[in-house]
This record gives sequence, structure tokens and C-alpha cells, in this order.
Amino acid sequence: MRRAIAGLALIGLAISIYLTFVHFADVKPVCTGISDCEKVQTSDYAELAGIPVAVLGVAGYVAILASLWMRVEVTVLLAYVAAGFSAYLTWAELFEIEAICQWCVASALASLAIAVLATLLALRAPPLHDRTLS
Amino acid sequence: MLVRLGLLAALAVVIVVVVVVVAGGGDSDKDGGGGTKSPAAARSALQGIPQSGIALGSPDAPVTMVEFADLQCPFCREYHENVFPELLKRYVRTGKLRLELRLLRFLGPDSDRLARVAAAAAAQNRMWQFVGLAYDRQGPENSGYATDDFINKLAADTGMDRADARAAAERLIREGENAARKARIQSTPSFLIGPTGGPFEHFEPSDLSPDAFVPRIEEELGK
Repeated sequence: MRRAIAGLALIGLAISIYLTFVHFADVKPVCTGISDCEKVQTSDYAELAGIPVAVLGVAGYVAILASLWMRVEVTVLLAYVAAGFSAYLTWAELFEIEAICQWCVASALASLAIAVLATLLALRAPPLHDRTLS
Repeated sequence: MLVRLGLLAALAVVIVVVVVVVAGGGDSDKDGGGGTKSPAAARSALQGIPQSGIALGSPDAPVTMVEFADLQCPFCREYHENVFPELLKRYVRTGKLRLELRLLRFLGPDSDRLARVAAAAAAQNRMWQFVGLAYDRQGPENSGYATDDFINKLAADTGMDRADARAAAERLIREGENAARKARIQSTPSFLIGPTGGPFEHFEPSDLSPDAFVPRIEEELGK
């Protein structure tokens, strides 16, 4: 279970690093036909208090990875925050920016899956029990 | 454990809501215009292109196209979103075309207020950044959306110097209106085209797509 979470977090991390690169290098992201990544990436929603959300994504996934060595509650809380924030951004894509970027959707799905897996992990593991990545 | 998970979920929701509200994520809503461009993106789109007053593009460009527009006019916005980026890429960046923008204010008080600040931006060679953001955040015609806050934020996002540019703005607006009168402009967007320095001819595109503009610009470049 922890391995699955770690794998998903690594995927999310890779996406976030790519989008951070796109943000700062000022290049167009690779985008499929149905999405308009550039519109999403250059929108008001691409930054939160001046911090690109892609950078927040990198920080979030790193934190989730690090939390796998801590109490399961930490992972769960981080995963829920990540999923909640992704949900907010997906809402913004659909209803405010009216454009979708497949990278953002992939990251949102990864964070949702992490949240589900972290929940299962917490339900399986006895609380207050220190575990390490096996 | 279920209770604990519920508490963690609630805590997560609170964290997300607080972060989003405090950081003002996507604060375009509060501008009333629903803009989607970040100021940095608007600025980078024009990076490296010479700007002088109301003109965008190299002063040595063989052809100049003059646009008469009202910042409140939805069709002017359509032109700016659908045609302008293409012309920018193909002709302005390559030094073939120079664009001039004459802002009129016949739709209503919001047009007037926006045009004045745009003219002040022109005095600081930042009018095109201002115009890009103003179209992006354009509200419904004469809805009073161009409030002081709206305009102040536009000016700040354009990176304008707050120095009082009122006199320059007034002069530019009058110049624009005189130019429109001389060219007998009746509606916006209206266009003139010709060799840089003039004389200019009226150009009426059949629609607001790049395809309607490209042949005319090519014709002018071929002269």
C-alpha cells in the first residue's frame, strides 16, 4: 500500500516538476487536442499568492513521500489537503477558466488515488504504530 | 479510526479553504471581469517587441495598421483575442507590421475611464499590456464594471508607474478622436492600413479571424 502511494506520489511529483519547468521557462506545455494547457497555465489560477501552483504541487508530493516514514495520520492529512486543493483547481478549470489541462487532471487523479489509498492504509494499520517503508 | 479520519478530512477541508481564501486564488472574480490571464503572462506575450506610445512593433516595419477600438466593445475584444495574437506572431514580431491603437470612448463612461488610463499607460509605453489585460477582464457593456478598484488593479498589473500621467492621457485621447474624425470612423473595431508613415486606407475585414486580415497585410507588404 505504501509502495502504491509512493509510486503515485512520484508520478504526481514528475508532473509537477514538468509544469514548474514550463511555468518558469515560459514555454508551451505538451498538450493533447482536447485540452488547452496554455490557457490553464497562464490563468490567474496558475498562481496562489504569487506562488505557482506547480511549485505547490512539487512541495505537496515531496511532503507526501516524506510522510510515508511518519505516522499514517500525517500521510492521510496531507493526502486529503492535496486532493481537496486539486478538486478546487479542477473546479476552477471547468467553470472559471473553461479549459482543461491533461497534466492537471492527471495530477488531480493521482492525488485522489493517494487519498483513497491513504484512507485504506489508515483503516488497516493500528493507530499510533510507527511503521517504516518496507 | 473512522472518527480520526473524519477529523483529518475536516481539518483538510479547513486548510484548503483557508489557503484559497487567504491567498486569493483566482481573484479574477472579484474584478468582476472574469479575466483568465495572469499579469505576467500578459507582459511576456509582448516581451521584446518595441512599444512607443500607441504603437506596437518596429518603427521600421514597412506596413502600419491602425485600429480604432473601444475597450468596452465585445467585438474589439474578439479581435484582440482571435486575430491580434496571430498578427503579433506572424507580422509584428518579424518586423513587417506596426500596429497603432486609437482608443475611442463612445460606448459609455466605462470606456472613457479605461481609455484615459490606457492613454496614461501609452505615455509610459505600456499601453498594449494594459489593453490586453483590460480586454481579458472586460465586463458587460456599460455595467459600471470599470470601478476605481478595477482600474487601479489593471494599472498595477500593467506595471505602470503611478506618476500622474493625466495631461499626457488627455492629449492622447484628443489625438485619437481627431484621427477618428478625420478618417470618418463610425464603429469599432475599425482599421486603417498603409505604408508606415501613411497614407492609410480603410480596411474592412469580412470577419474577425486572422484569415480575414492576412491577405490584406500580405498585399500591403508586397507593394
